[in-house]
Formats: sequence, C-alpha cells, structure tokens
Amino acid sequence: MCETCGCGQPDNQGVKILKPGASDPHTHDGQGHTHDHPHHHHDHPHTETIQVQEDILSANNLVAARNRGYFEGRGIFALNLMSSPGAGKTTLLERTIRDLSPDLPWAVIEGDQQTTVDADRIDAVGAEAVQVNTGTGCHLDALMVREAMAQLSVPEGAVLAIENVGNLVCPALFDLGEARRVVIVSTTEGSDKPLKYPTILRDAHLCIINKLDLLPYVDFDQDEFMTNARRINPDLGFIPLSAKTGEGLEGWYDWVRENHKAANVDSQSANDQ
Amino acid sequence: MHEMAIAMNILDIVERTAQENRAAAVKDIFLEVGALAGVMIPALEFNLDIAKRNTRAWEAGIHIQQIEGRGRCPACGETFPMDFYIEPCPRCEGSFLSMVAGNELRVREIEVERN
Repeated sequence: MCETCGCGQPDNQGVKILKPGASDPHTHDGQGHTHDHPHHHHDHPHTETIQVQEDILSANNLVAARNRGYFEGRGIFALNLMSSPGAGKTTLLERTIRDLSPDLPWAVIEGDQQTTVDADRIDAVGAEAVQVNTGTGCHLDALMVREAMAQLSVPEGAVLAIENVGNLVCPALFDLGEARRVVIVSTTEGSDKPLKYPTILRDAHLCIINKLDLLPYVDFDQDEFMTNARRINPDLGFIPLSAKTGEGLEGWYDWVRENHKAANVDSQSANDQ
Repeated sequence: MHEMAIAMNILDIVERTAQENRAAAVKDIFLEVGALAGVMIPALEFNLDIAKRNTRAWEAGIHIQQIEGRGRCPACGETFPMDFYIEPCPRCEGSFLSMVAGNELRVREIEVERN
C-alpha cells in the first residue's frame, strides 16, 4: 500500500520532508497513477568547493603590521624578549632600565600566565609597565600587545620591551610588531638547546647568553652553543653577560642604543617621505 | 600548545569564508601545514575537534596535507628535501640553507553545503 495516501499503489517513497514552497510530488492525475520521484523537485543541499588560500596566521600578522606602523611612526623601539622560564628576562630588564634611565625612556609589557609579579618589579625600578595575563595561553599575540598599548602611555622615542611568556616553542610563531627579536638563554641550559628548539632562533636578531657568573658550576659549552645556533641562523648576534654581576652588560647596552637609534632613523625617514 | 590558537584562527577563517559565501554548513576543511612550520599535526587535529564545536563547521572533516620541507643551498643553488633546518647541502655540503618550502600554514579550501 502506498504510504503517502493509502491508495493501494505500491510505493516506496516513505517519509517526505518538504521545504516551504516545494510542491508535493505525490500526484493523482486520474489517468494512470504516477508518483514522481520527489528528488527532482526538492531543493536538495549541494556542496561546493570554495578556494580560500589564506595564511592561518594572517589575522595576527595584520595586527602585528599595524603595531609595527604605530611603533615606527612614533620612533618607539619595540623588542620581543623570548626565553624559557627562569632564564632571567625580568632581572635583565630591571637592571637595564635602572642603568639606562632616564636618558632612554622605557616601557614594558609583561606576559605571564598569572600574577602581576613581573610588572610590579618593573614598576619598582621606575618604568611604566602593564601586565598581560594569558590565563592558559602560552604566548603573547599581536592583539594582546595592541590592547596592552592602550593601557600604557609610551612616549615617542622610547624603548618598548615586550617580555613574552616564558616558553621556547609557541612565541616563535606570533609576530607582535617588534623591530627586534631577542632570545635569552642561560648557562644552566644545555649547549644543544638550539638544535632542540630551532624555530625560536630562526628569526631572532640577537641571542643573550645570561648567567655567565654560573659558568664555573655548570657544563655549558659556549662555543658549541654558538656553533649550533649559527647553523640555524647564521645572522644571529650573541652577547654573553651576567645580569647579576653586571659582566658584559655594556655590550648589551651598546646594542640597545645602536638599534634604538636605527629605529628612530627609520621612523624619521618614513615620516619625511 | 599554540595549536589551540592556530585552531581558533583556522575556524575564524572558515566561518568568515562560509558566511561570505552564504553557506549553511561546512562539510570539509582542507589545510596545508609545512613539516617545518612548528605545528604538531595530531595536536592541531585534537584542538580543531574542540574549536569547531558551535560553529557551522561542527561536522566538518579535517584534511591536513603536510608539505615537505625543501631547502636551497645559497652556495651551489641546489634544492632538495629538508627534514631539519641544519642539514648540510647534499651536493656541496654547504650549510646555512634557506628554506623554500615547509613553512606553510594555510587554509587551502573548504567544501560547503548550500540549501
């Protein structure tokens, strides 16, 4: 029996699902009983391929480009400081700010999963600081930096240090709009670290080797470390120092002054054009 | 675990593309991930499964094509497959190779369903 109308005709159409506006295909024309296959009358969903070809990081890269333009327009020298936890990023910043202020104004964006401990430390040495807590996030991204900038009043010509979340893996992929990328390692880490974490070094400009004062107590081979790192990034510069004793800090300060000047020159020539 | 951030970015791109094309549902997502892009594919798949919930791609199949790394030797110009950044050139043993492929992170295409 036809399940559509009970007309006694064999029918296997079964359940019908009709969209508004679609006609019921079950017809009785009086002359010969026909049941059209409803398939030809339904608006069936059809699939379609859409070419996207979009870089997965494009949203971040776009915001990073805006940040970079903002920094360049104001002669702000932005640094992205990356390291594993405990390499001494904040200690180095504290000392650097103390030694270079007030000639060079500093502002700091601190990235950590939790607490404002680091921003408090920077505040205590007299630089403006804002803390970004990423919660469970493992890296800073360009939007976090943009939002943090809204909380800071960074003077023109300042150095903006962005201290990334302590992590040697994830921050590597996220452009923040910085002018220079600095990776900090310490002598308590192995000389094989560049080979284990190559991505973070690939686009870095400078590698600081911190905690030189611990060299007598650890098996760190500085030459081997630098050879390994250069195999990944032949243009990488190195500054060994101790943020605790002050050894080697002048080299770092010279690097900051030179690159800060270069950033200002770039921004001047951009403004002149 | 930056793969979660990567997965969210992918879903943003997919949702926006589907919306612009007035598509009701996304059936398949095709991605290209370079072998040297710093993204772990099983972790990305795991995170995509979570990220696609409550989006129009909730049922979408995920298809990831891994792009093999390729290096070019600046000394002799040879290009060749590269599994790691620091392999020497197989022809002249030169180092400091530049990467010409393997860094991709791209949404290639999506298959959508229209009513």
